[in-house]
Amino acid sequence: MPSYRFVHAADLHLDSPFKGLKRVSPRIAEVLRKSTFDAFDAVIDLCINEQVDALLVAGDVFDSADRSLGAQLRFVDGLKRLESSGIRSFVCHGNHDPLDAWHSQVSFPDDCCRFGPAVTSSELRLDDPDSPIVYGYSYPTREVRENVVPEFERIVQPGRIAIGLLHANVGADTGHESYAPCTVDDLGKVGIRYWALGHVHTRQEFSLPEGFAVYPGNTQGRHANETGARGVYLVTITENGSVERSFRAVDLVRWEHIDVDISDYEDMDAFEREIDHQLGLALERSDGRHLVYRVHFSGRGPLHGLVNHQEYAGELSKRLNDDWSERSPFAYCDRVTVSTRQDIDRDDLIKREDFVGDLLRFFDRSRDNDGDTEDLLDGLKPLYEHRRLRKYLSDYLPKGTELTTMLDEAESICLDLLVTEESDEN
Amino acid sequence: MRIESLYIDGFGHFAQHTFGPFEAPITIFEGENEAGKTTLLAFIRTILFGFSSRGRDEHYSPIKGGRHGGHIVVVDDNGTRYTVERYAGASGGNLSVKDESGNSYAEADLKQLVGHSSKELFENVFAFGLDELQEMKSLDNEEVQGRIYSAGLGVTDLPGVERKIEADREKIYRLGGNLGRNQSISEVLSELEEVEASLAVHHKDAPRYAELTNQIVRLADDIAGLEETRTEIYRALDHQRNLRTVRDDLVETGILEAKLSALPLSPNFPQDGVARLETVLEQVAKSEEATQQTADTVEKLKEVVSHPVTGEDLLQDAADIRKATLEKSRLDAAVKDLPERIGEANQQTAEVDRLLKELGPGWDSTRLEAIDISLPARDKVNQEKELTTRLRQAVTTRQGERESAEKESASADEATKQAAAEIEQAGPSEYDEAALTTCRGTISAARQGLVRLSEARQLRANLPPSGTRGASGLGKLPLFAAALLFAILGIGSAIWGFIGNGGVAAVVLAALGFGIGIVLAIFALRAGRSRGISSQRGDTGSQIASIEQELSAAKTMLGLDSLDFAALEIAGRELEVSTRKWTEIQGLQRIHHDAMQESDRRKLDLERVTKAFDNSEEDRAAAQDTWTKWLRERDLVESISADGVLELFSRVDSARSSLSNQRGRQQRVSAIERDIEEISGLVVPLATKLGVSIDIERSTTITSAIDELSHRLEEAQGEFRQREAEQVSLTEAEERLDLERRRSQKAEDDLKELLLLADTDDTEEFRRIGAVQDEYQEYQNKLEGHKTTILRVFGSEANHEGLRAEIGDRSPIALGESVQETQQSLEEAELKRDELREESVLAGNELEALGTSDEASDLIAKRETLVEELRELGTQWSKYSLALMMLRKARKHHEEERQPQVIQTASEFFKNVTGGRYRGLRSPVGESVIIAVTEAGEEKQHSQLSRGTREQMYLSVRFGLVREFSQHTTSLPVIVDDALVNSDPRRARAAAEGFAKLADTNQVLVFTCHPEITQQFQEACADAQIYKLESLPES
Repeated sequence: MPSYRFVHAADLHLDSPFKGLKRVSPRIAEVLRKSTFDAFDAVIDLCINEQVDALLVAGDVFDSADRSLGAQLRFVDGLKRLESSGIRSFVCHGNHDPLDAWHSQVSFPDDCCRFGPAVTSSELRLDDPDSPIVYGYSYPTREVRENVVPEFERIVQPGRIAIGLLHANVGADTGHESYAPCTVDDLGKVGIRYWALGHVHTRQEFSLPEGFAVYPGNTQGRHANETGARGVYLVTITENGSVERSFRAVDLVRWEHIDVDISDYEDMDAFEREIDHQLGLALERSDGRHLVYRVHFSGRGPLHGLVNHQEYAGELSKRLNDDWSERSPFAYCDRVTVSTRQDIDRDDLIKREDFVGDLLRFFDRSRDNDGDTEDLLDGLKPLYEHRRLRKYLSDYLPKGTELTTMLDEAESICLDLLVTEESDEN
Repeated sequence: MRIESLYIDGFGHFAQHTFGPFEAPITIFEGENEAGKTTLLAFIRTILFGFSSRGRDEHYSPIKGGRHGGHIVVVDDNGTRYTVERYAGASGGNLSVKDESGNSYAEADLKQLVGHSSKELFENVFAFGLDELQEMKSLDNEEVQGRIYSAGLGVTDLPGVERKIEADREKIYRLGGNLGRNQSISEVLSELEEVEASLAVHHKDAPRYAELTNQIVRLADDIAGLEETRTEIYRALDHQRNLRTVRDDLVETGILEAKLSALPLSPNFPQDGVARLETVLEQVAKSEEATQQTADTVEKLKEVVSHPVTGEDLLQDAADIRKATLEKSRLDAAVKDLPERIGEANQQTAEVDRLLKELGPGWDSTRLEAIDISLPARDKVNQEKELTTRLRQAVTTRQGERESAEKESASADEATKQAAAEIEQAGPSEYDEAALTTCRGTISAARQGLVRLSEARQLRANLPPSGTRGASGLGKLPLFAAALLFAILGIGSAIWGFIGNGGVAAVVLAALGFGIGIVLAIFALRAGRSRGISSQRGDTGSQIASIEQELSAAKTMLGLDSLDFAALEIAGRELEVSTRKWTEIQGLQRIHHDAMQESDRRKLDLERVTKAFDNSEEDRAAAQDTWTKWLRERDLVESISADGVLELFSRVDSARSSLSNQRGRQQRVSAIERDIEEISGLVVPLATKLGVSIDIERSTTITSAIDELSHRLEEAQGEFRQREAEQVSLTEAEERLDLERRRSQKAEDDLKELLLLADTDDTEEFRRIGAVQDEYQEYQNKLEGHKTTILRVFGSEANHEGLRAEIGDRSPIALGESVQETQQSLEEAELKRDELREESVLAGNELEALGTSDEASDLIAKRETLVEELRELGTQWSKYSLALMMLRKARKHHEEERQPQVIQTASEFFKNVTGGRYRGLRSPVGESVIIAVTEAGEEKQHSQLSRGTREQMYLSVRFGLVREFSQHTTSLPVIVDDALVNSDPRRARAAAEGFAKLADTNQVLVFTCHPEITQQFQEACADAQIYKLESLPES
């Protein structure tokens, strides 16, 4: 049997905006806006340069919520480039780009195997009796909540190497919605050598009895939590049928976090040098790509007052961006967040039989007992349920951990104003 | 903080007035009305918090002079003393705060000093009078309210904290109101809604894309249909244009085809047949003429070559004749040169004979050639000549040297004799050198001995008389013994030198002996001084004896009668004379010695020169013998010199040269004679054979015969070559004749073949047929031309008949009109098509713009950014809201569970003041009021209380406030201005006791015009200090 090679990509989310990003300069906005397209172009270039047999796309080509026509057209343009280079393409659709979200006028290339709402198959290399067979399934609509893996199992042909293309939540990943949920065991039963999965944005591999199931992650990080390299898998089915795979980064912009604990610093110079040092490391990790990063300060220490000064975060962002954001590649500081605490002994304060002690005990009680938070949420609802705002904010009424974190911040605000270091000492 | 003293520079009725120091816990200022109590209170307030910005009345302008203001000396809780000085001026007056070291402080430091208390707080809580105790209003100040109700919470300023958080929160979003312009969330929301509106427009992109896609497909179909129609019209138009183009050709084709079918056709008649016939006929004629001419030439040549060549036999001897001809010039030269050469040979023979005679008898050509006159022989003669000359010169030189040596030897002998005579004349010397040196040393030693003898004798004369016990003389004995020993050694040496042959060594030893002896003697003497006088005396005696002994020996040696300094002087002068004479004799002896040595050297030179002369003579005789032997070996005269031999060699050389010349000339004559003989041997047989007359004896006839033979040979050869050329021409003519005959036959054949093509044997008939064929060809060519045009326009498939039928009888104009009509139809179809195309391009552009537009992407990105900002603001707002909610929760709880410390303190004080009539005070949660609780538990609002009790309640609240303030900031002085006048004596007493307790932490200043109050304070606090204020005159 000859060897076969293909590229496995997923979650392109073409033309989707970066999430949670504050306003940026037009130049950076342009780079960010184009980054999902550029990453996809890099995938196509990789396929052509590596002369693979096919490209497999495991769903979420674009976000139907964005109704982006350009995303769909650019996607099929890329597939046509592959076709002109003699490379097949296999596409399945996921919850963000179900079949009913695609414009009927967008025509896919002839040799593109676009899977429908039932599991079907096609040869990886046409007119090759030994060719592995690709099985796939597309979401007809956004809401596919049932396990579709048994459908694969039903039609997989024994004796031929099988590749599965599926957009699904394997193992109930809590970070993603539970579409087409299945377990690793479910995947292992089907006899598929390589499951080309999509949906989970973080790279992940599962070992199966006969091969692997792989989430390549998305091709471009679009959120502060999507840090690190993003890309695709270059997969080889060797002559003896084994699977070799290697990850290839295709992202244009990297996300990074810079966390600094103020308790390690006595003066601002050393503190800011540490920030610069951490930024240098982040730049090294970004490997010549554009960088978007967030700076976060935590811990207790004498610098608490300075870093919490209402203008400090803005000035630091400006300094960092003045230094780095106009370069190419740029390094853009999206925001500076501070969750530092006054350098005071909270345990001591909470023992006091005074107002501050009472206040801290109230905070603790609110954090420990969810029932106590109802009145707090009632106090917040006027904003979150405001008739003009609820469209954007109603889903973000803080609850659970988020509320706890907010209570921490609120406590810090109170203590900063109520307790000076002198009075703490007294 | 406490006030230590006051200095009023000018304030109200006070001028340059000092109060203090106030050392007691309670200080009572007692004075009647108008004594200035209120002015003092105002002064303290003004200095600490600044001049009031209100009416002049509250400024307390200095009525009695002085600068408006003054200073207060205060002491903080740490005991540091500050002088707070303030004079009237802008912004509350000119403030100066200094410590005892003179360090200045800012206003902020003063604020810290007063515990950040505001002027109002101070006035209402710490410095109050009867008026302030009348109602709660004076405590309505927000800060004071906050302190009453949050004081004791463990925080400084809870109301301020809440206000600040509320203000920050409202910057984002204000509860209960509309979204206003000043709320940041509102700005973001407005922008977001604008973006949403723009995006809504883009949501129509997809339907529009579908619409455009369908439109483009539809337009493409329409365009394709139009394109098809247009193609058809165009094709018809093209056909019509073509018809119009080839109309005439089609008509002409029909005519020509009719003409052609009428003409007889000779299918085999060749192209250009007539022209070819004329050419063939011309070739036939030319060939016949050429054949005839060539046959004539052949006949003529055959005639010529049939005659024989004259002198053909001569050709056999051609080589010899040519050789004789070549030798003819040599023979001429030899015959002409021979007599002259013979004459020269004879003349040279005579010259050789003459030179042999000059060499002398016995010389002939054989000896001449035998003798060796080569260069080695000449070198030998030259060497002999040089050797002889050199030896002769050597003999002459040696002879001169010998004579000169003889003269110099005789002169040296004479000088020797003269020196010996001068020595003789000078006579012998009295002393030799050693004796002179010894005498000189002895005289010098004797002089020193005389000096030492004199000193020793003087020493002995200076010694004390004998009998004095001295040191042992044993110590000096070895030194004197040694001195004596060296002196003897010196004398011995002198004698050895004087008598014997000791020479210089003896003199040196003698001098050394005397010297060392003298030195040792001096040491012995000095050593002796340290010993006993007796010993010294003995030593000196021995020394004198020793010196005298030495002098005696010297006298003997010098041969003097007596030895003193005069005798020694004379002896010295005699010694000088002897020394000069000895030196003169020494000089003469050196001259004599040198002359003898010179004479010896001259004799030796003479011997050497004489020997050299003899050697030269021997060499010359030996060379002569060798030369004589060499001459004899060559049979030459022995007496001949080397120069003579060289002269002989020269003559021999000349004679040899002449002999060689003579022989060469003889050989030349012989050679010429051999040439003549050789040529004659060649020519004579030829001449004889060929009949040419010749006389062997006459060389001129030989020459003529050669010329004759040569001439005949040339003629014969010329004729022979002519014949050969004619033979070649004949062969060529015969070949050419054969060729011409074949050509002629060929032309004949061609003619026949050509005529046969026209199926005739008559050339005229052939020409007639040819004319018909030319006409046919012309029509055919025209027809082809028209057909080519039709072919070019309609192609090879064109049906001429059909086309002609289509044209019918239509004229070119009618055809043109049809073309114009069709053209118009075509243009209409194209116009419609272009319109649809343009519509399609516009739709395509719009479609592409929809597919590639970044605007929607930008808007989506912007919407995301704005939503994020909205969430961020919501989060921030939530933090503030949570902070406020938690603060209020805690505050409520605190008020419910923990009565504020202020109220607790006030309650206790109130209970004491009222003597238990009231249980205490309470501040209900959420209400800024204070309620008095009677002993029976009845609660009374302040309006329900008597004036005195109400004043006591407010005083109690101030007590609580002062306590609370002191606990959290600093203990400010409490100034009370007749606050107890409305209290009954018992309650006043109880209040005074309360103040006394307060004085433990806060300085208390009491202003009163009631002596009983003073008394009650004195009873409550024994340390109270009283200031009596005098009544002030009316201003």
